[in-house]
Amino acid sequence: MGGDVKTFSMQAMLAPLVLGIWGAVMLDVVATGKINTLLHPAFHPWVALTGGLLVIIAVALLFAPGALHPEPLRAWLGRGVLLMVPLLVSLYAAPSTFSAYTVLNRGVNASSPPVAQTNETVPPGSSTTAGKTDQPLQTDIPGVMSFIETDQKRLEMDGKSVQLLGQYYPSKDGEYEIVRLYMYCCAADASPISLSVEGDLASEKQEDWIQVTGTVRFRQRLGQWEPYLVSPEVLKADPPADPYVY
Amino acid sequence: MSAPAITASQAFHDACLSFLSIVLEGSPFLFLSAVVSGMVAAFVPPSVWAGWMPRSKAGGMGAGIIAGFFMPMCECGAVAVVRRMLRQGVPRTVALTYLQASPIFNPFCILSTYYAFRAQHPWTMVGSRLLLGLVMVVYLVWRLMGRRPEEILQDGLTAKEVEKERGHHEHGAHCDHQDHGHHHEHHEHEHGHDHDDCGGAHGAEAPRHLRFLHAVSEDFIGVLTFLVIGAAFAAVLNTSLPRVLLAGFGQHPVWGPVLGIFLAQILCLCSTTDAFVIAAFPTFSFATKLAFLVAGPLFDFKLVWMYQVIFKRRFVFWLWFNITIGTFLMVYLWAAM
Repeated sequence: MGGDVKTFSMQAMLAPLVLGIWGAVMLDVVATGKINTLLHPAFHPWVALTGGLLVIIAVALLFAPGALHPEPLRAWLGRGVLLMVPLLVSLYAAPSTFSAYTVLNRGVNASSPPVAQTNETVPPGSSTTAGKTDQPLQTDIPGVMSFIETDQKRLEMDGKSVQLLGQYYPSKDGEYEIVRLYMYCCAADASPISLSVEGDLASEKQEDWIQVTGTVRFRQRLGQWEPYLVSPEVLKADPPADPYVY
Repeated sequence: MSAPAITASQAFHDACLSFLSIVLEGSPFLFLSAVVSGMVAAFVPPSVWAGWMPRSKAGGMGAGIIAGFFMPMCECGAVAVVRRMLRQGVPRTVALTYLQASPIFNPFCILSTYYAFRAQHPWTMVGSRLLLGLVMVVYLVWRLMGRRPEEILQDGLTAKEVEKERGHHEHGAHCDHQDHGHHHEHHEHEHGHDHDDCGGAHGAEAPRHLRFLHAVSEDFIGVLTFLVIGAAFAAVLNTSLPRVLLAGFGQHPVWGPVLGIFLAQILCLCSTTDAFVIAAFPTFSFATKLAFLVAGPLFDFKLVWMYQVIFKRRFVFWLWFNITIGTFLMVYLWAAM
């Protein structure tokens, strides 16, 4: 190894230490499944690959003679703390999903998932499928939102029974919202999407997970069709393993 | 626990979740760019850049935009690659154009914009985003090239310093750190001392694999520092900012674009997916959404720190100011047409 023993010191270990810890954290979140609460599934293999390679490079730096360059102690401490402490603290403190604090700040019902709507207009009262009594369709909020993609689909689904899972959020009198977080890339961009449900649910607390079975109806809001549920049956539910929808 | 304490606890934990997701999403791209940068450092001799890179401003901008299309990189990834390009003597016009152009002129960004707006006149949005983005990139690089490199670039990244450093090592100077006459003080932003050619005690050029390892490690950690700082601020803002208060401004002809730019810079989204987020706000006008899509890839909050790897701090704020004002003026005029 180049230089005297002192150069192979803690100060020269910053790079392998940082790379090793970051790599280990990435491998840990993948192995424990915590990554499901953090990133869209498309990113998971890349995080695993990057984690593995970072650990390999960290080990290689330890054993490659002449690769380590010691840093001044002050800089070592400063950068080491900055690069490792926030990562480890957030790994420990991050919950599996956002609390009502963030969901309400991001706006329940302020946005909708990316669903294409046609510009066709349909005369009111033209639904012909009211009162269908099929088995409830197991779906999710984006699935119900997709019913407005075309007029034909909307008319077909009007009056259908659906069953879905979400978190309870109170709304205006006579209605409440069932909410999921829609993830585009990562938790940081997850936006609440909601479906209005007719009724009052005094027995539930805000953020409680509920399973709702109800009949789909449609109404116009801001010039666009919007689905909502009527005649709901509500059951308490366990939180799903993956709190997001995609 | 009192209500404010509960709120503070929720805010802290939510910010941790947001922070962790941002850094873990960005790190693979950062690592990829550090690997590309390391390969450039170890395997591409600087004479290659000197040989076939265009030296004219127009040629350099064209090369930078073409490189942005064929070597797509998000904002996080481009920083390390561009720093390495500057150290290797790539002309400033090419490198800085690539830095600004790659997040917006890459095929993933174009495709995602089209798909996100497929029910809202997609080609109008894609075309507007690319056109206004092009105008902004050309304007910025033109202004940047009008300034002396020492004014805008961090130490060790100007062509003069790169030549000096290369000459220093080519004369076989002994690279043992004790023999250097100056301290390698590593502050929060990287100084430009390039250790790539430092060999062992015998002063010979280091083997390529060692140079590669060192370059990857240095570039990854160097830019990671700024990703961590930027992600921390972004995480606090994107969990605490009440977006519903902003919804009312989304239709206003003046405040709408201002809101779009503000949201883009605060939310710090990747240019490959930002279109989906803004497309999902039905109350926002075309101008608001366009301002969001143009400003976001060019500058966001985390880049305040990450750009200090390349630019001097005062100049980073110059960039922010010009991008913000320029985007607003262009979008306002374009929407009015």
